[in-house]
Amino acid sequence: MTDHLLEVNNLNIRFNTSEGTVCAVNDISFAISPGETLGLVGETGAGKTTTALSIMKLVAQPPGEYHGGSVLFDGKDILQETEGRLRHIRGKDIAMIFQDPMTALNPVMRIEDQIAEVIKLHTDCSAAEALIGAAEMLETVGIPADRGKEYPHQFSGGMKQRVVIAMALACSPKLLLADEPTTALDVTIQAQVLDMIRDMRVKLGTSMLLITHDLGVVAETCDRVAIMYAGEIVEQGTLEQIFHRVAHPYTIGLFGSLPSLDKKVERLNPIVGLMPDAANLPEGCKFHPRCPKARRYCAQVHPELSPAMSWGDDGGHPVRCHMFAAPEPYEASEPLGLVDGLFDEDFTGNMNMAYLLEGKIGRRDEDGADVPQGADVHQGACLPQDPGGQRDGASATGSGTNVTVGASDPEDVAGADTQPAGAPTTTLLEVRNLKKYFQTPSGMLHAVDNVSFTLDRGKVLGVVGESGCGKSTLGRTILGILDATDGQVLYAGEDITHAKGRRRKELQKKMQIIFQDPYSSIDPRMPVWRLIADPLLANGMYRKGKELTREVYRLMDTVGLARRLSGAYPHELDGGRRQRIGVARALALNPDFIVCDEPVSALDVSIQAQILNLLQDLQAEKNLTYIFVTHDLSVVKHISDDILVMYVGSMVEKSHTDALFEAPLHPYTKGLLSAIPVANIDVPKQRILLQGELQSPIEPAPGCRFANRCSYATPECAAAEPPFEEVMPGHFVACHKVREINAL
Amino acid sequence: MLKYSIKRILLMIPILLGVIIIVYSISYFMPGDPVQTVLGATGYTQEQYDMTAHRLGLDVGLPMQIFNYLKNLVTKGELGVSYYTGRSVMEEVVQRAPISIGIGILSSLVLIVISVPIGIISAVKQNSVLDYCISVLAIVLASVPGFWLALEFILLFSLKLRWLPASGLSTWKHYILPVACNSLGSIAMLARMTRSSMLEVIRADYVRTAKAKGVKYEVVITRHALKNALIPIITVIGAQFSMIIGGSVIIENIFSIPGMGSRLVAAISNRDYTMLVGITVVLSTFTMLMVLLTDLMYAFVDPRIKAEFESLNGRRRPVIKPPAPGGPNVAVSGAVTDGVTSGHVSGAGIGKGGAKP
Repeated sequence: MTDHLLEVNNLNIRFNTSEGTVCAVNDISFAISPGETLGLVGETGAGKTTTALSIMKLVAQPPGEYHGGSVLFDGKDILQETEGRLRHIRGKDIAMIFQDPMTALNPVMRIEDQIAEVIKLHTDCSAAEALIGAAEMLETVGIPADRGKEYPHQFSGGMKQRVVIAMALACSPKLLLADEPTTALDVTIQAQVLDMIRDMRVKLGTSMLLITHDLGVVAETCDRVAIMYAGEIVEQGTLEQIFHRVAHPYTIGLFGSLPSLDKKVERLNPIVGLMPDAANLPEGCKFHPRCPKARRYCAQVHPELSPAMSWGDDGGHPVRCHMFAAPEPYEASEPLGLVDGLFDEDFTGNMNMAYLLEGKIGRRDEDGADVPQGADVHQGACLPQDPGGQRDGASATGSGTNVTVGASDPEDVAGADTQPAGAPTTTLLEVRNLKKYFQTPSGMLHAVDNVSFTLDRGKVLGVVGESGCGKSTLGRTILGILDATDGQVLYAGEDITHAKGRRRKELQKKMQIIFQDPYSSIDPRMPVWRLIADPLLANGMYRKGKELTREVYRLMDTVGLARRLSGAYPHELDGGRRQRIGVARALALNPDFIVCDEPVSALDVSIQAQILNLLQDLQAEKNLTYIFVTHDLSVVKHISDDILVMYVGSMVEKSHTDALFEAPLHPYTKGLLSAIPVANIDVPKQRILLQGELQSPIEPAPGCRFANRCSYATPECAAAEPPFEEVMPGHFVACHKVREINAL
Repeated sequence: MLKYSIKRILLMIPILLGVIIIVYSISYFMPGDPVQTVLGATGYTQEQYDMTAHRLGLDVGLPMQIFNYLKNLVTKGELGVSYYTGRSVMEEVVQRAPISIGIGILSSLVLIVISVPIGIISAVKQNSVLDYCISVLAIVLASVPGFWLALEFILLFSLKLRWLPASGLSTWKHYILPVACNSLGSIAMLARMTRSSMLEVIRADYVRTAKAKGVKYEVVITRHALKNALIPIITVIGAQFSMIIGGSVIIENIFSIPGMGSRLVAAISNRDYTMLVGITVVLSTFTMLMVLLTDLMYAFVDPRIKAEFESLNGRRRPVIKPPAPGGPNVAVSGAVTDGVTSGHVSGAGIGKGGAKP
């Protein structure tokens, strides 16, 4: 196997921590050929970054420890090399792009010096020549060379990541390790950076190991894929094998957790539970506590990687699952019978029944009965026993899981539409020409500029836009957390823009918010019950005592938090559970209206799906009205009735969700939609790449704010602000050229 | 940057005014009568008393006294006349200040030269035997009071071994013991700070980036890590410098050094309040200058802070990034205010602390 550039064989990495030895990477093997891209996919804590670092032998020792295995690069074992030899490989033959461009650059060094440093280290050139090389690299990644004299804090996130890429590619490495290179970036910037990485790779013939949690990015970038779970590779194959013949239940679950852009999904099919703690891995198959197919045998014996069922002339790709490795004993043992929703999400420690509301158990049961069918989104999953009949049955009953048919099925669409019927629609919230400006040293920052909309009771409005476009500010201004500069907010017909004192307090009971970051938005020194009781106590609705406890438990049940966690502190909980606390706090006062401010963007996909389902259930159950602020279009499509697209503080497009996704009219929305990587390899994508970055919201120039990035822009666009007009029934667009572009 | 510095220097004026008012008032309300001290305990007539009080300017109320003092300071650049010696306070201060400040600067240099490398070594060799030894030594030094150390040093090096002189300040040998006593206590603090700051930086992403580029470890530490770790180190150096100046009061007395510290103690016991206020004003001015210097050092080390300072001028910058979370911006604003107040308080504190006996 000498034709491989990189060969990782049976790699084991352990960390010695105060809680014992943690196996971060367990018996991993993969190979990369010259020019090939391998995608390493998994959720937080799967061991992806540790694997990548070990390829450069950069895992800190101690606490890290290489425990057998080899990393053959060009036929030589990296793990046996001396530090001196490794220094010549790092940066020259193997280079790395790190996840967070904000912190990956040295804040006190000039950009050009940071790039020149790597050139000077690995070539015999003078300092001046290295600087020239750095300037060339900057131009290559699309940054004017004279900006090399600046410091990282003067660059935007996307530009910093370009610098990191320039640094990594400066010496034309043979292998590029890209650790979530676009996770921290906005979607249009992500598209630019991914395109650039692809171009550079083709130009230089570099092989790449791409680490990501985003199956969409994988579909657009990789040749082969390895799925990691709890330090192991559970499935590995070509793009085609993984996307068309997915076999491992975990991979199937990952696909099921993704809100899809091109198909209508009523309810997501998340994987239940959480990734186990690496210090306390379960016996047998590491995935079995979360696996809907788990049987007694899975809990006893650890499965080996073995080929999945072959498919035509395909020999079958390696999968770590007993269904393929040992079908006879698997079939013979009894099913563990884990059904979605019946158990607390915490399978990793003690198995506990969740205290679910009685009505809820019924519904979830119905929904969750056919969990694995999430895979059927991708035609032809090669599960050994494809329960097709069962699936049909589920569709017939009209339960929400039938993702297979999608929007094309008339029955299903009808089912979806009848759901909100019942209460007559009344306008709950009206926003008129709302403005919120901030004074900064460099001038007035127009965070929200002239935003108007109405929102009916029981509906969900998705507010979409990239970072810095004012969507969070909009939510907070509506709630009165920020004082509006101008304009009006009407709640149930009453002007509440500048409500103060007791009236504001009353409104706060009706209008709540769920914050983005579950890690920093709750007090780390309060236990769970106190956090949930907080709004109840603050509003004087309860005093400490039995009734409060009952109410807190009721809320915990509602959001799916096990009661035994009431004494736990936030740091003991994962992001998903913390966000459940956030949801419970928002629900405590029984509000009508909730601003969900990026409630899932800090979470892993499977947890994200769990929280999205929870929010959806609550909305249906309590007839809540949401403003759902997010940068993730697939999430917003999944949950919203209407969508408002914002760009640098102003509205650019508003429409019904389906209409917007079918036929976006504004050039920005078109670019935004086409920038989203889709986890589907069958649909060839026509990409409209948005150039450049967002205009600064500080003292924005008059005229259309998108003009500098718009390919249709004419001088007229920069001269006058476009009106926000109804172009088609219910479809509002702010663009001078909307009729020309869309031939209306 | 220049504009910022001028702004900061102008800001020192109201603070100094506050220092003068506070120290002057404390002296005024302290028990004991300067006139009586000048005239002796007994044997003077009421007429003599009134004349002396008038000569010293003590026959008017407190606000008037402070006003006269300030008028004198602003119009003539005078700090008054010592009640006790009859000499101009300014003259005496000009003579003595270089000695105290010289020892202060020397002690700080020794402090930096010893502590920063120690801190870096402990961070790089974290949890090694060396690291533990340094930590233990640092804690022992920090827990020993400076004056006790000074007495022990005199006993050992001057009286027993006869290597170094015990008092005065005529040759370079005279500097060794005071400087050592002055800086040893602070070494622990600064070394620990350097260690923790370096540890934090060593784990930072950009240090990992540097390693992934193939940069030598030593270069990673000196070129990439140290400069980033300097901000908290500079903060501590600034604070320790004020402490060293304060500590000089005791050290100068023990080693009989003719600096401001020893004069300050004498002034308190002699009820020589003009001298007390004069020395306090000089010390607090100097402390505030050091705080300013510390803040300017931040800008020198970190371009982000430099940008921050420049934007305080109200100048328009092309790109405004939201302040880095919890990063140096916070550190700076904290340091600026803290620095000013600590200068203020420590200036006043000397007078107040000394007033008790």
